[in-house]
Amino acid sequence: MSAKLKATTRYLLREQLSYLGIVYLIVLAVLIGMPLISAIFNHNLTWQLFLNSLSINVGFIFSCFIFILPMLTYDNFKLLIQNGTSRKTYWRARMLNIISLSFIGEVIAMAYYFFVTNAIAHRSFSAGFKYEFYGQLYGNFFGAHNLAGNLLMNFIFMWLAFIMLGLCGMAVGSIFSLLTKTVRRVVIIAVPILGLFFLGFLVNWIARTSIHLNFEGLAKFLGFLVGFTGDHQVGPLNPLIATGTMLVISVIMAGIAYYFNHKLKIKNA
Amino acid sequence: MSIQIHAVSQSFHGRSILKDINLTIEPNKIYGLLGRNGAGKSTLLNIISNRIFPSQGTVTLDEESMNDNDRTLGRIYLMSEVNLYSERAKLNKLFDTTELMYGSFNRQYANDLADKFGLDLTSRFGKLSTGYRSIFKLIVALCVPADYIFLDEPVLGLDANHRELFYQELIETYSETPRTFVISTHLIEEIANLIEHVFVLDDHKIVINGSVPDILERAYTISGPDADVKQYTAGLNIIGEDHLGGITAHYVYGALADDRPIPDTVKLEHLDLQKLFINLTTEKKAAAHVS
Repeated sequence: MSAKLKATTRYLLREQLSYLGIVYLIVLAVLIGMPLISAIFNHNLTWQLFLNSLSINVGFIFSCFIFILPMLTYDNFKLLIQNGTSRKTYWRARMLNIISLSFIGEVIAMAYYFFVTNAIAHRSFSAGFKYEFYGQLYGNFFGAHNLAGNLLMNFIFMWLAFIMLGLCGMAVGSIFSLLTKTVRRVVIIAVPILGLFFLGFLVNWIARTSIHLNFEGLAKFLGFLVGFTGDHQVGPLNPLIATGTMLVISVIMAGIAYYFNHKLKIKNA
Repeated sequence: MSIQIHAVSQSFHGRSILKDINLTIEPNKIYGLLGRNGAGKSTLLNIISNRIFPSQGTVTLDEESMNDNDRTLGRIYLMSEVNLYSERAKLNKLFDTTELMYGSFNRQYANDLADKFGLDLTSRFGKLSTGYRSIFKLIVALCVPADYIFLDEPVLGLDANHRELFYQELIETYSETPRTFVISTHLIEEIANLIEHVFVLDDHKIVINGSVPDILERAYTISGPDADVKQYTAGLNIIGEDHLGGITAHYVYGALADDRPIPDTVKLEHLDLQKLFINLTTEKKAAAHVS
């Protein structure tokens, strides 16, 4: 790793960890603090209410964070090009950053779930695992009694899921950073509206047309991507296939981000 | 050992900004990059520092491409008119970032300069006035360990005292640690004694590229009675003229006719850089004759 890449990665990681800390503090203040304050004013604060307010989904909060943060491409690009850092190094540093930040995010999310949320619910580790997002979908794949294996796979799976989300954000951010503020606003507003219109048109067209459309193949393919094999011996869903799907999506997103990152330039130069 | 700008052209939406620019920027020299508003000075500096891409042409440093290359980009620093620092960032932190990215930074000198200019390093960049933003960027430019420093409008918003202080510090730091400075400014008189070499951009092309003494050696004011002046300057490269009553002044750039005697009524003086610049960039037809 070159000195420049190391310095850039260190700078980005330090900055983004501080943002993550701020996000968690805000979430704690809003999701935990507000109900507690309200309960204090209404004189109905109980120990159970306090414990219930602590049961927040840290993994979901982190998934929003890891998608949104890499979208903010231009501000760091400005600072780094001012300091003699190439676009290639910026892209590499962001990749390393997403990988490391996702690791940290998953460690925090898993620790919070098992040591806070699960403990409040008075559940054992293995019982709590079944309530996890991964546990609910793929829990039985490595055997019902193989908690260590399942937990390890859970960790890897969620880590990769966060990386994929981060790379999706990075790809979108890289495209957006090439647009002017006005065009960006138009795209943000127009794309969902046009998408809804298109969906409505599609539904209408399918309803009115006499052609019989069979979506079974598409459904099967989408099912396969998330790991549906139909083999009930090992459980309905195979996490290894879903992991492969996420890997492929991650590579595509990293490629898109690389391509557009290469075109970054200073606006109003 | 130099920055080579080869056949660089740039156009935005079909409008030409730079046409076939070829330049060499050598180590340890102070250059002036002069041009009227919209001549393409900032565009050229942004292309050199790889902040924007040229439509055509290449920029290399010691024969290595400047495009997307940490090795070459890490050897240059562009202090631009556009602010690329975060508005929220504290000045001290921005020094830290510069040090981290460039590998070193003369922190002691930066603190001394901040003291001299009266800049509070605990302030946020966004809270600074235009003048103090320029001062902060100048401090970074003088303390960063780059071989080539480009200063685009370095004294924007600075009062006369601060401008004077900056020029003094520039000379001092240059004599202690020689490196290349390229200064792009409209205040030609203030840098005229500072620069060794000048590039003049006009009509999107380089019209002057040479050492300041050589160029001024070839620039003349020829004044006197209208008829005598006209007779003497006939056939010379007249780049401008002034009239006051019956007295005429012709500004000539280039060699004089050696075999032509100077009439007693005609006065011959050398032009200063600012006057030369004004005449070169006002009279388009004349400027086209400059080589």
